[in-house]
Amino acid sequence: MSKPRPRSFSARDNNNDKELKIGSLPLHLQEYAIIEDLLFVMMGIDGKYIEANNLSEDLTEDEKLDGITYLVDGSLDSSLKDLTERILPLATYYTSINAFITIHSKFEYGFVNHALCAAMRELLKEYLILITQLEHQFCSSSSFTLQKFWFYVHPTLHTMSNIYSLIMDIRNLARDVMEEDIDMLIIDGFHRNNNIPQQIKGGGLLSILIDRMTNLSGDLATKKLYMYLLSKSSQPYVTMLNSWIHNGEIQDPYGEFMIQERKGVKKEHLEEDFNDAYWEMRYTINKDVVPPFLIPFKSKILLAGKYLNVIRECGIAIQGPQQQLMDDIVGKDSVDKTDFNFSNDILAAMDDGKFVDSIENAYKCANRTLLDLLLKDQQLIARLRSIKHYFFLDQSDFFTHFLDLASVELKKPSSQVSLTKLQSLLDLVLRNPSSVAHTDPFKEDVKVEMSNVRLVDQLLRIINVETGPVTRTNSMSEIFGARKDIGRMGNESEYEGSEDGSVIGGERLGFAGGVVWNVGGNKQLLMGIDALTLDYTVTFPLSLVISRKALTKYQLLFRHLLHLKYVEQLLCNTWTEHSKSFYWRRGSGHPTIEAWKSRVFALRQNMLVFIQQFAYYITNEVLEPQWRNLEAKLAKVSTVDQVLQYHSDFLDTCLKECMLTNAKLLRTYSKLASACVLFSNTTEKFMKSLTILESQVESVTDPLQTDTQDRTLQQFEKFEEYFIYHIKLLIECLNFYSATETVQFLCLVVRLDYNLYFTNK
Amino acid sequence: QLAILENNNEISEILLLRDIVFIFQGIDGQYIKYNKNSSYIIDPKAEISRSTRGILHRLTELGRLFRHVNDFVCTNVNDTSIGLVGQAFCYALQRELTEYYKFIAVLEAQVTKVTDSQQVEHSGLSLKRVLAWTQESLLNLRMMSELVDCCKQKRGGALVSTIYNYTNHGDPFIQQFINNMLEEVSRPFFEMLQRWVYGGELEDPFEEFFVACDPNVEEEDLWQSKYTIRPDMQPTFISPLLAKKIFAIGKSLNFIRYSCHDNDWVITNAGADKVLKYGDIIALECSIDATYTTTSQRLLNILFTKYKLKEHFTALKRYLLLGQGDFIQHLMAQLGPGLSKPANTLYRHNLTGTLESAIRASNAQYDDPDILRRLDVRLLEVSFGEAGWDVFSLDYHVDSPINTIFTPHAMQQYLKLFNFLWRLKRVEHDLSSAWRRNMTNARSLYQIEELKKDINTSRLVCSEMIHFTSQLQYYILFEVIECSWDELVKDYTKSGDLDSLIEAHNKYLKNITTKVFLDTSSNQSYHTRLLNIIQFIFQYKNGLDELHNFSLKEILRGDNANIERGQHKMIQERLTETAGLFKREVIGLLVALANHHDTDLRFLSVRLDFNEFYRKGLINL
Repeated sequence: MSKPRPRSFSARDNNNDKELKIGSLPLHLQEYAIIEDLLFVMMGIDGKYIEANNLSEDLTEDEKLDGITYLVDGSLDSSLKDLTERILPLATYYTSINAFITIHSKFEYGFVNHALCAAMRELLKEYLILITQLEHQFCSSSSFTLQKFWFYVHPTLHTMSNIYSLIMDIRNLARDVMEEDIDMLIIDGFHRNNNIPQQIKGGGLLSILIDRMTNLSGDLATKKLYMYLLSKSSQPYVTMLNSWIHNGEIQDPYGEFMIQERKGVKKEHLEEDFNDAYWEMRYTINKDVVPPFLIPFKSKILLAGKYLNVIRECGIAIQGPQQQLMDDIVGKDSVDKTDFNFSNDILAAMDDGKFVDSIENAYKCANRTLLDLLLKDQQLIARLRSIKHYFFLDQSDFFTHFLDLASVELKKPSSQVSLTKLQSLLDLVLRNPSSVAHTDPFKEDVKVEMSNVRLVDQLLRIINVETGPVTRTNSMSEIFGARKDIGRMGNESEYEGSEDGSVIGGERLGFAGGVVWNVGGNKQLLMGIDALTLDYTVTFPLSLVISRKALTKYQLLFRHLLHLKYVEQLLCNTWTEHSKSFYWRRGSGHPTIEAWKSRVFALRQNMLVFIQQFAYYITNEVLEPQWRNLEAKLAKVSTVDQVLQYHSDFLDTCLKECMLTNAKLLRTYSKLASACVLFSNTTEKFMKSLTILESQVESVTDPLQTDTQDRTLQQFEKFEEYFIYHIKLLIECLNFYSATETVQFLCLVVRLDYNLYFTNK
Repeated sequence: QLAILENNNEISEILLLRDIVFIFQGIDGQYIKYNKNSSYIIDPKAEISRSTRGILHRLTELGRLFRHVNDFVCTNVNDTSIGLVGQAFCYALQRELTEYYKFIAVLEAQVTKVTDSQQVEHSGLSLKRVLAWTQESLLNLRMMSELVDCCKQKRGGALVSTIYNYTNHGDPFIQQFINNMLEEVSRPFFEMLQRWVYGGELEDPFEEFFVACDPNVEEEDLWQSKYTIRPDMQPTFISPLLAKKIFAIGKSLNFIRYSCHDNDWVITNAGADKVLKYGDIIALECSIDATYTTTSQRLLNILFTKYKLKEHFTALKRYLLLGQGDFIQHLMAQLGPGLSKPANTLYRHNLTGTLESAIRASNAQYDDPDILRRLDVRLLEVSFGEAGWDVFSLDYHVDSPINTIFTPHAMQQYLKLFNFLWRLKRVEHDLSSAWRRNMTNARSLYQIEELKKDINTSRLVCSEMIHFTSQLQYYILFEVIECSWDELVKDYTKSGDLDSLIEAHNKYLKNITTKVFLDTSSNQSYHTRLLNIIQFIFQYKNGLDELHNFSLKEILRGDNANIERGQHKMIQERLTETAGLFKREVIGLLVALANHHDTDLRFLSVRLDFNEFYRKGLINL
């Protein structure tokens, strides 16, 4: 504030003044002179006999905050000196506060600091007025003594010392943070520009004020002082808060607000990103700087603004908070304030605590609007129902048609399948007016996709990753992180190269080693039918609910179902073969052959029953009831987060009850299924052997003792054994897991073994 | 006794007070003088105590600041070059200074009273008191001097922006001050804005507004290039979106007035009663939004009703993109023989006559006469050796104001499209006539044993070609044009302003040209391939004609056993060669299409090769 004046003059003045030693004066003159000096010093100006200890010109900004200390001429009467020295801190405080105001009014310190400075300036103004009043007293009344002086300034001293210690607190905090930062900088090795630490601006500053207020609230004067400071300095913060919860805007040029926005996280990523990063990362709470009075509301505040932003992203203008509307939504019930664990004084200081109501109202309002948007405008339920048509094959007449049309294509290895052709076939099927899908308004969004990993392998990898040690989850998150760059390409490849993959491979080869087939080998050619999956285009607000993660789960379920259908179809073909071919149908004279034939039929029937019961279980006892459940829940949902929660719960339960999350069950099931596939593939071979046998029967009526019969019989018995063994294993496992995982498995047990056929075997 | 303490030589506070009042107004006092280095110096010889010097020094800051602000105002107050906003800024500063003078006057009255009574003690006025009183003025002057420093070189919208940046301060006092200042400073800006938004007038002598006008631009290009945005003059409190809307409003008003000749509406709708001013940005946004909607709606309304924009869209699709089948069929049939002649024998009036008759003969006759009037024949520039087919083109006349949407560039795209489609249509036409001839003559042709095989092969090739052309036509007419058209209809029904309408139309054209391989940049190779294929079909058709002529001649000769081998062999070879070329080109096209990034085009390849006929050919190759 003050310009440096030329040093030479003050030096000469000093000499002049020093000519008169104050100690040589009579006492009452000493008092007079010292009061006159004090009046100057209290304004931060050197007096005749009181001088600044440290020259203000040479100080750095930080040192200026300490304030200037003053020294009294040593020759002064000692009792007067004592009294003077009691008053002198005022001058130090004044200079310190002045310096604080100058420094913290700079733009980079943020709104809250500015407001605090303004409040302090008001106090300083009163202080100056006090000085002029004292001067007036001093000049006009002869009975004005130093004692009286002390009496008048005493309360002010208290206030000023409080502010001073607040300033010191803020400074120390800033220093601590800065030092930590410097350490960090050394570690990080990069240079950050000289930012103001979060802790001493915005929410952090308010926290300091509130801390001090609660800690010093015993003293009424102090408490009043802090209430004043708090009410002034929280104004900008409350304004920010209101604009966030009512409009979803962050007007925060200096990074003071408790919620931070990351502009880099775009909604466009949502359709590709596996981890719902947009929802989680776009807006985050900066936990360090949430003012204590807002801690109970912080999640509500965050959500309110976030919802509004979602609405805005959809291009819908946000209406200002209309009281009428708010009342309708919120209802007349007042907000429950009992759960606040802080004193009401703080609320009183902050805008009379009105913001508590308004946070609550804004939250409900935003919630309702977004929910309406999702459920009504975007037809979430209808959308989910349509996804169910395609992924859960509910009312899926179109799909059989599709499989028929595409069967040639799907028999090829997946690398040779033309996706375009499949897509055009699917389009053809979906647009077929006789299909149910024809009336579905969302049918354009379904796409065909080819996965590059077998379903079971993919699932096993996921399970292994999930249940792996903690370090592995870290690596998974890293993989997910990296995926963002890679994009969709790495949809499944993220698991590849991880050690889990090789482990599974080895294990599987181990157990299947003795058996003829090599289902477990990762190297086996992936056929089109195994790789086929569907994809679904989801647009923005809906992709919050139907994220890539959710879609992947849908895809897993779809592929599971598809595989079941496929195996069923194969077995049915075998059945057709058995019932139409001449040698199978005709009764043979030879009892051994007859017995063998009926055993083949029995096994085929067992397999068919198994697959059909399994499919029935999945569709009718898992997916359908869970879907009803979800629909019922969605009908009376009240917050958006609930919607997200219900939906992901639904998917998780479905996955779990379809046994897709348990490695042991999954392995057993996949063995059974592959046994079925292999069995139907070997039908032809059996047929051949049968033909040979029959021809032998016709020529020789003796018992058959040929190699052919032996070999075929052996192979067949292996099948039978394998199948029965594993189905028993499955039933056992299901019984076991029904206790730990879900009771739903018992239904399947009953279905698979309803007349205790396998148990008794 | 006090006298001992007081230095008798010391200058009394009363004199200093008198001095300081002068200093406050920037005038030198007796003991305190203004220095060249823009600071005040207290006479070092004067007997003034150190403390008093300190307090005096603090007080002189006010004088220094005042001089700074006053200098700025004095130099600029009569200088028109700083622009309207600058003038408003000076005015606002002066207003603040007036307040300050008032304060000084009050202070001076007090000082005089003291001087008169010669008694400092009783009146209570002292340097300290003056210091306490001047705190507020000090803050004001500090702000003003800061603003003066920042705004020296700025003008117009940039000046407003600079001042607006100061509102980002949490101090309520500063906010209040800046807001008062802004209200004054932005007044000329808002006046300009108001005139622009409600009247479409641009009165901006010093180029301070963020919309610039180029007076040399013709009325034709009013929408596209007459007005531009000056980004550096756009105040920061007006968001880019809002600025764009404001820009569009004024432009639309001018467009309505000058191109659509609807002056009355502009005048009646000039919101004379509405006053825009600084303060409530949200209210400003609302009123701009409302005006924007009404103006844009009005403009679109005029275009769609008075200027029949929708009908033009439809007409262009029907006539230039071959949407009106019977008309095109008729035209083709009528023109066909004539167009085969060399181009320089064609006469425009003949062609117009044919066009007229084609219109009369088809459903096109029920179309709006205004639209039919615009339909015309155009002959492209003739170069030597070209047939009529190469130069013939339909044309559609557009005039102001709809040529804002149908720009010359867009019309050229339409013509290009027409040209290609017309060629395709002609191939189809030729092929079907060849097929017909083939079928009708079959019986007589089969009389010659040696020709049987040729005729059969030619039928196979023909049907291959027919399949190709009809699938390509289906793709272009249905998958491309109809789908894009559907999108266009959706877009223009919900488009809010002319800009989005133009954009929708451009998108429509771009969509079509890209998917028909007519855009020059990326799809050149496809286009040449297609042209080649078409060329081969023509060649094949000619060859086929020759074959027919030849065989008819042979039949007439009556000697079915001995035909002229040499000629036959020649024709046969030519046919086989062309068929081979055709097939190779088609396969090449299919391979290229299968890897195209556009899914529609990949579908086209699936469609052309639905039973993998060509794929087998590819493997054989």
